[in-house]
Amino acid sequence: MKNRVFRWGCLLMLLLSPLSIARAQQPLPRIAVCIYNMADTFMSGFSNGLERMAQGLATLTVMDSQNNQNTQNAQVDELLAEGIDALIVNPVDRTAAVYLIRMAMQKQTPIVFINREPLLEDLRLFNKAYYVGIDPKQQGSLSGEKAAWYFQNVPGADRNGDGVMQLVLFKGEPGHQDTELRTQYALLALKQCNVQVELLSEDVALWDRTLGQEHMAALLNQYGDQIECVISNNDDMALGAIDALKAADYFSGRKFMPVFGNDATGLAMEALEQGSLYATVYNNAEAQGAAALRLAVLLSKGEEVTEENFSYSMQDRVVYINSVIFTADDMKH
Amino acid sequence: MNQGTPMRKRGYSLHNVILIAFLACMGILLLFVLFTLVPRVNQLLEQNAVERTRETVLQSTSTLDVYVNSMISVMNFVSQPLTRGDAASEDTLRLERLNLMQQSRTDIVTLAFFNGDGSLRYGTGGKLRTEPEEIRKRQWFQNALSWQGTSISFSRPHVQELFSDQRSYVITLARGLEYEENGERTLGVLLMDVNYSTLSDMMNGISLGSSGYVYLLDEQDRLLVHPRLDLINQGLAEESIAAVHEKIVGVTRDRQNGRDRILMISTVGQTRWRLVGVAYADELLALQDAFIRILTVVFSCAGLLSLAAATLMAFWVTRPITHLEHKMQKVQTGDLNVTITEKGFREIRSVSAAFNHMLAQIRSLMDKVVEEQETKRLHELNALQAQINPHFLYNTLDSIVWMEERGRSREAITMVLALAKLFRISISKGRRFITVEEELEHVRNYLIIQKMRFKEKFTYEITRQPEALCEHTVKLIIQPLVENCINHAIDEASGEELHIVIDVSVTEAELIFTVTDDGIGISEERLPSILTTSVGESGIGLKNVNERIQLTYGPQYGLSIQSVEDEGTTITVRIPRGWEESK
Amino acid sequence: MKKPIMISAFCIALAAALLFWGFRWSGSIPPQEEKTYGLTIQSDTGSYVMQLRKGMQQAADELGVRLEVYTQSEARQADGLAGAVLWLEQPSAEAERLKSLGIPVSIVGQTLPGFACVLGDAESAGKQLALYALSQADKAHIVLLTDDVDEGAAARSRAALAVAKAENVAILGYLPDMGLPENCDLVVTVSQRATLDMIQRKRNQTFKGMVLGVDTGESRSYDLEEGVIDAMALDSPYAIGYLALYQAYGLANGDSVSNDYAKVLLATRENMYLSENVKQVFPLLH
Repeated sequence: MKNRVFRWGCLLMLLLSPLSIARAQQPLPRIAVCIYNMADTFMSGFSNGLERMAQGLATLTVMDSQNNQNTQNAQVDELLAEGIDALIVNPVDRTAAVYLIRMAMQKQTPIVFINREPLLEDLRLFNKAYYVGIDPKQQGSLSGEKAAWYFQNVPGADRNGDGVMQLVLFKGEPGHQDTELRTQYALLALKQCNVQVELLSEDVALWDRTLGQEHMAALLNQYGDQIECVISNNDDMALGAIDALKAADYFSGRKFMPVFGNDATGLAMEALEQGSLYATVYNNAEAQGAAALRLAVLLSKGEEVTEENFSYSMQDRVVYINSVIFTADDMKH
Repeated sequence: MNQGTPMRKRGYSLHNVILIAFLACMGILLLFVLFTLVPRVNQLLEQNAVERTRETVLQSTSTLDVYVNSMISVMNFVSQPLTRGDAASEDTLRLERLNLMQQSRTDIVTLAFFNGDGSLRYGTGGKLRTEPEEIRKRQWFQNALSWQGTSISFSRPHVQELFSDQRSYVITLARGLEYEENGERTLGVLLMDVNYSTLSDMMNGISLGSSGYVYLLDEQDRLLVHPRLDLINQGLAEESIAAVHEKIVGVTRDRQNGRDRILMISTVGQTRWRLVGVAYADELLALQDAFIRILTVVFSCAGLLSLAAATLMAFWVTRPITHLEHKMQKVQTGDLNVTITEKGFREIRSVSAAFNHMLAQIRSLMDKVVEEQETKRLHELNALQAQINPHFLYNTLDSIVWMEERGRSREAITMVLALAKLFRISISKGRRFITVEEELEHVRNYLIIQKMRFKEKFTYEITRQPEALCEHTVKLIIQPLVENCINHAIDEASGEELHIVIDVSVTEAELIFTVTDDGIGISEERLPSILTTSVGESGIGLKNVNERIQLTYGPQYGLSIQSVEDEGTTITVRIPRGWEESK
Repeated sequence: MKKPIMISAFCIALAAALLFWGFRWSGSIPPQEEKTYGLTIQSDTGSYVMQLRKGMQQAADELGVRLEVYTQSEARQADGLAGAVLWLEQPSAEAERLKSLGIPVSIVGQTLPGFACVLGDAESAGKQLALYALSQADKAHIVLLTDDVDEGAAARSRAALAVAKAENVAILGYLPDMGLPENCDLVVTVSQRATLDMIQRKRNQTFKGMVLGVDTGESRSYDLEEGVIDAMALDSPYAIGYLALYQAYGLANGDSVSNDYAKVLLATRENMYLSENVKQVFPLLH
């Protein structure tokens, strides 16, 4: 009899002990991440980075929205119903983010958008809705400024010596935030640097390398050596243009074309080292992830976001992570 | 042997137990199916119905997405040439392009490009009737500028009144577009008016079930397209938005006009619109309803069929047992000759066989008992018969010796001969039955002897019907009666001569022997007990004969005595005719 | 011995009957034959009849009935109908004829004793006009021109009067070519002839104040845009048609119905382009 009481008592204590340990430690906040499409290599890398950084900080659940906004709507609905502590969302359709914000607002669940910026007027609806990303205006400006510097400082940059930069622009998807703003601000930066620009072509190559190559080939056919500079909204199209240029005997030692890209992908960095790509803008995915995660963790605990606990610069709940431009020279140092 | 009606036994009837057990099993099975299958199927049907509706709604959303994307592609396509190069000189070319695009599609009403200050650069709508400052106030214009071309503004349906020569009912798309003018880059606004009817026809043609439909609303929960929008605007119909406002996107339910509805809300790409699919629960779940009805019918039938089966089963199983029961009841009433046909289940068969065997055993035992009784009776008979002879023998032998001593040899010889004949017939080679002639001979010989002994005491005569002579009878019936007469009927006091008449006659079925005397008779008190009590030597005779007759022929035959005191006695013996040795 | 067999046979027979009948019960409803309703119109042209027909067709689709449209000359063909709607200047003859045939009738646009009617809500129109006039704070001298040229105008007059009486509003009965008070800066008209008269005066500048009135016809949107009229009370023939068919349907089903009044819109330059009002202001567009 005594033995039995003793045994049951021990068992009971053993069972209760994790509870007491658990009470001593607060459970990690549960944060869900919805990625617009895990087939997008950039975003899947981003997501992996998030998962790595979240170790010990939060319990992370990653969901693939499969490039369908309604799939994402259902995912967010379910997550909110389950009582998730915070959401990190990479929306499929940035204009539909207004509904995700309203849903999060109903449950007062913090929601941090990444990579695709919702409309400002939508973010303003809810005081726990944030955006973390890069500023495409800044990125465009960096490319423009570097192109201006090149034109003004590198001998032979102005091939025909007329003081005007004959420029070819490669644009991504029309209506896309990055496309429009990078383009607008690159041109604005050139203007602000007092470089006169003759825009030979504003070519839509839809972020695609092959299209970039084809269109570049066509442009070389049409304009030949007149082209003095190529600015591209992203690296893939820039590399495509470089392919076409190489085929037209550029980068072989005799002819050179300054090509400006964006994103700093692995292939782009190689091209940078080779000397075919002149510059590219670094899209700091790591910092974006860290900032988004930090925000989500802070907000999930109900803490206020201040300069002390959140070091990234923020305005109107929009966090733009600084971008930097890399040239081949920078690589050497 | 038990006679009378069989008793009603207590306890449960096998028939009813089988019936109830079978029904209970079927009932349990049916209930099991009901409670496991039905809720699950119901749930699946409901899920299926909701899922199919959801699929239709997503399909409609896709269709709308495709349309919206095509509109956006047109805008993008049209945008491209507008932005490059030296503005003014190519404006006519650009306008030409716009016109081409607008004319090639029936749903595009107007394409126009505005400067950042609201003035019209060029457009397919003709002359502008609105001042630039008015245009700057328009929501589409402001949105287009503020979004800087990163998104397209989609307006609510309205009548477009910007142009002098055109009024059309449209949805306005607008996007900011950077263009170059005098080396300067500025943001302008591209406007595209799309026919409302194209969109409304597309949406209002979609149905979910027979009365379900879809509608579009914007981010401020205002209806854009609805099959009954005109009626709603006139206040003649209503659409309850509360549930949609609450749910925002996803699946929810509400109730309008007394009907339950399932609402599926999805977002339409790029437009900030939502598409709401309205399906009526009673239509969606009509299948469920039909399922319940079919189930009710099927279960009722199953119930009835199992009742039928149970009844048949119970009947079929217990019939041989009931048959057995009836036969056994018959045996109870006394009929041992019952046989049960061996048919039916193995167990029943073996019971029937055992029963038959048992009955056969009983019957043979009974026969044995009867036989034994017979033998016992025979032995008794023989013993009875053996009772009669000794005293007479002694007396007769005494008489013979007396006569011989007196030298009356002739009489002695007659007496010896008569005795010999008497005994020969008595023995009759061990036969029980002799002919009436032989019986009479026996009596005659007896009388001869007795006449010699009791000379003047009596006279006798024997009469018979000739037909009686060859009939058979149990032997030694008459002689004891005559002996009885001689012993008891003689009036010693008066010394009158006794007259004995012996008669044999026949009826249809019987032989009748009568021994009549005119002796002293039997007193009334003694008469009833004559045949039952054995009083002395002479009393044995009558009882003996009666017993023998009854043991042989049955209780309905035997002796009957009539007597009047001092007048005479008649003893009548009745036996059946045609009875022979084998019996 | 036989009893169990009889019981079983009975059960099986019952089950079979149940099965047969039961599957019928859970099956589909037999289709009903389609009823036809008729609309007899005085004219086939114009936005009014266009919207009237659209409204009736919407009602017909909802009720699952067919709609046939007849012009006045074809009216004789309107037999075998479940119900009829009449939009005629003089509907009494046709209405009586149909009534004698036992066909329920609904009258559109005017009242006819003994018949159910659907009209624009003239009282609401009058009231809205009067209220709008009073809301124009800068207009000190408001004139209300009453008119009883037709049923609708009379009703509007009464309603406008009821609102305007207490206020400082001059009330005059309309007469063609009448003079207006000198300082009048807003005139409220309740009949089409008065409205058109005022608009004409605005066009030739003999009157410079605000004009509020009723439907001016197919030029309604232009008149508003031009500025010759500032607010216009418009009927909704779409709603009227819709209500009329429902009324006829109700009558055909033996319900007791009373007159229906369709909403009237007060259209102004501010609200005339809104989608809620497009069917009344721009009936040819949608």
